[in-house]
Formats: sequence, structure tokens, C-alpha cells
Amino acid sequence: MIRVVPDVVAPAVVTGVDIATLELAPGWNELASYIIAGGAYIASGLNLIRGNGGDFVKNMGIAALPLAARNIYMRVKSPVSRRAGVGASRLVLQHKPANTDSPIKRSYQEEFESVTPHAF
Amino acid sequence: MASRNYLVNTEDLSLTDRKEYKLAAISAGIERCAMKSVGSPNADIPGLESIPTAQHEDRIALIRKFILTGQWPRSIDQRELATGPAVVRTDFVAPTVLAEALTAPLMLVNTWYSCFQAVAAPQLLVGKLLVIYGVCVTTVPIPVSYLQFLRGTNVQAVFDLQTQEARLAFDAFFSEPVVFDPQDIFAAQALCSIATTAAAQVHLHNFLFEKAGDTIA
Repeated sequence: MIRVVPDVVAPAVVTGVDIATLELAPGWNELASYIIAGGAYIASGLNLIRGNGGDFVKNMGIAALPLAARNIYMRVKSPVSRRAGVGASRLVLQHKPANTDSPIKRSYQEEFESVTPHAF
Repeated sequence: MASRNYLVNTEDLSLTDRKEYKLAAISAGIERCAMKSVGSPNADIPGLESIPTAQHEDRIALIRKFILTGQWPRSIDQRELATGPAVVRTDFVAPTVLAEALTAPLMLVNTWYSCFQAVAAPQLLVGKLLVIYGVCVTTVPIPVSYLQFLRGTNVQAVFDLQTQEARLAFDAFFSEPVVFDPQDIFAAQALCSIATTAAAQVHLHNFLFEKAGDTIA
């Protein structure tokens, strides 16, 4: 039997939090999914809340688990092929040396380092 | 890596060079928007959120790929800077009087004049991110010899305009863009080399990023 509050409202709350963080604070979206899923499962597992409230919390955890799992998957598997110009996979692991050579305050943002065409 | 400030005349760039440069500048601008919470590119571009913010090159590569497919992050509008007046459109807290790129009258040689008429140190409005990537001087002969950008009192970039005198078109790209974040107080100044009571037209090529829907529907 479907009960409105624990079975419908709980997933709706999780979806609402997901959309709200996505729109208002995208940096918190991923963390929110972990907190809801983890927090709800722990609270439910420890029987901190009993009765309908307990089902509500448990269902929040169930609803948040796919979001958390997807975020973990996205974090582990980056969709960008790194250093497309470098062929050998071993070279992919090379790291850039730390930027320690310039005591002068940077005059621009590092996102723009690669804007200048090589032809320049 | 330190900054590199010099001009490359537009005539010296192929169409592909220009396209690549603009595409790179726009991609980097969107990445900057993500850092400065202008719109929400992380949510708009599939996979972007999963790349750590420190990996700028990877993030920009993904943004570039996304734009090349003909798509655009739905939370961001991009156009060119509007200096004022307020009744026309402005991205400044204190708008200019005329809606065109003009310096103040160039009265004294060896003096810096704002490129924004009487507004010496404009401040960008909340949520406006400015990427300036080139300059076009339409006043001939060119009455200014240098162009400099300041954030607050800190010089961000200096470009020598004198070689432009030898060109047919006084239009050049910067070796790298100059970037100002929302609410930055900055200055774009040209150094007078020919004293005159007239103002010079020094237009700065730029991309302005803002949250979608603020101005353009």
C-alpha cells in the first residue's frame, strides 16, 4: 500500500533538494546527495525515528541513493579524454611542475592560459 | 607562467586563428563564470561538474566541445559590453553618458585617459563578467600610444599601440584576454600622444557574460 507521506513526499523532498541545490548552489548539489543518502540510512539503521517518521527518513535515503551513486560514478569516470595530443597512455600520468618561478602577481586568470593560439 | 602582453594585428591572423582564439576565450570565460557563480555552467554542461575545479584545462576542453556541438549553457547569456547610459543599457554601476566607445578629451600628452568617457574607474554590476580580447582604434591618426588595464590600482596588462600606426586597419587581438569579475572596479586607459580637445574612439573587443534572462530574453 502506498502511503502519501513516507512513500511520495519523501522522494519528492529529495528531488526538491536536488533541484534546488542544482539551481541555487551547484557546488553543494553533489555533497547534498551524499549527506541525504548517508544521513537517512544511518538514522534509519539506528532506528533514531520510529513509526511513519522512520519510514519517511528511510525512503529519503532510498530516493537519494541513486543520486549519490551517480555522483560517485561521475567523479570516478571523467568524461574528458585527457591531453588529447598525447598518444601513449603512460604519458597521461605526467604532472605539471608547480608554478614557483614567478614572484610577480599574475595579471590574468589561469583559466585563460591556453587562450593564446600557438601561432602567436 | 607569467602574463604575456602584446598586440597581434587582426590582419596577421587567419580566420581560423580568430575563430580558435574567440572559441578559446569564450570557453575560458564560461569556466570563469562557473567559478564566479554567474549562471550555473556546471549544471548546464553534462559532465562538467564531475571534473574538479582545479583541472581548468580539462574543464575548458569539455566546455569547448560542448559549444562546438552548437549548444550553449542555458543559464548564461553572452553579448558585448554596454557602457551606458542607463536609459539605453549599462553594465556599469556608474554608466557613461554616450552609448559609444569614447575616451575623455585628450588634452595632455603623456596622460592616461579612461576609455569610458568621464567614467575613470567603472565597476561591473553584480553578475556581469567581462573578457576583453582586443582593441580597435577608429580615430586617425591614432592619438594614443599605449593601452593599459587596471584592477583597482593594480596594473593587469599593458599594450603598445604605436605599431598600429603602420597598419591599414587599426584592429588587434591581445596576446591573452584581460578578465574582470562581477563587481570588479577596474580601468581601461589610453595614453595620449597627440594633444587635442577631441576624444578618441578606442573600442575594446569583448565578451560579456551574465545570467540568462537578465537582459536578453
